[in-house]
Amino acid sequence: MKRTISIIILTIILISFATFEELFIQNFISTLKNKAEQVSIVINKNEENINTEEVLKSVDNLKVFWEDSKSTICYFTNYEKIKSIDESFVKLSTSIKHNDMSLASENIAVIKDYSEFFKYLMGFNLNTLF
Amino acid sequence: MITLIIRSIIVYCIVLFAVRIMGKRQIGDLQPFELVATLIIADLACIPMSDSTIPIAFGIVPLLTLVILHHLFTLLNRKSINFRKLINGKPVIVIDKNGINYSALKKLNMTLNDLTEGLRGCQCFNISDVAYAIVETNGNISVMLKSNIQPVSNENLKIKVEEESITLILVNDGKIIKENFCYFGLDENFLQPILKQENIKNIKDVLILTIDKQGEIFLQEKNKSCKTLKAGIPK
Repeated sequence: MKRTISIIILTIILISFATFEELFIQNFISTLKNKAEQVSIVINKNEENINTEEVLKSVDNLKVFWEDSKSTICYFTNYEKIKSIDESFVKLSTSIKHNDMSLASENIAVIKDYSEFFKYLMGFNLNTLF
Repeated sequence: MITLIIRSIIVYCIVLFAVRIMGKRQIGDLQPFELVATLIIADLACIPMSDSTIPIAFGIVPLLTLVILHHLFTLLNRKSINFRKLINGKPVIVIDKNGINYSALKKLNMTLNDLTEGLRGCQCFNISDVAYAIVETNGNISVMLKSNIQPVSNENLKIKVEEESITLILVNDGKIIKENFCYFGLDENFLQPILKQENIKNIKDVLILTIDKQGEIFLQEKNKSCKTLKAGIPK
């Protein structure tokens, strides 16, 4: 009886954990994608000079979101696999400071690409199941 | 480094819990699905212990999933004969009154050497002494000797013997095992006259003290030789 109760509790814990992970990841990916899209639009709008208050604010907004989510993401995935996106954030900030449009576009494209890649890396996905 | 130490402690506790919850079978008695679970668990436990970039959940979640799966398999194994046959297979008679069943041996991927080795493990050194040999689902070989070879029992000789009784440990390395006293309807005061008689001042000086239903006591003090005593115990 005690064993059965332990198994039921374990099952509940695992289902809760899996559900929480799935919801968190879905929410995280869609938010990251939206925020990256917004940054991309703002950068394109300020094509002439990207070192503006508006661009910096939207990049900061994206960066804060990433930093806040990163610690939780590390519970679900290997840190090594998400390390490169950190580099892209640093490069993005630097390129904006130096008003380097092409580098900024390149890095925001990398971040957007990561939001797609995360779909396969984290959460439930039929492609990674088999 | 501290991360690895804490992770190792967590993983060790969880594997211990997993093995505990999976039951008390000996390694040699494992059924195929139990062996599979044991092998995978050992490997899973190592992954997050040695690499701090991998989340500990990568080890724990599959491990706990295996525990649940194992429990489910055990339950089905207990409830359904067909499932048991499918997962564990069934015992196979490899020696019968016609001798060695070679086709059964082939099906089991066993050689004659494996068979004779198994028989020797059952203290049977001569195949002609064997009436039946069965390879059990866990891989063990059970042997039934021919009637003329089987050891003589008390029943064969019509000898009346006293009812067998379990021997319980009352004191283990200076510590009283309270639950064993109840089994024979005794209490801890039972030890006092024995200790006094043997001139033992402190219970901590006793290495081991056992008793059986006939009241036979085996007593050994630490760093001294053992003694056998007789005591009356309530029926």
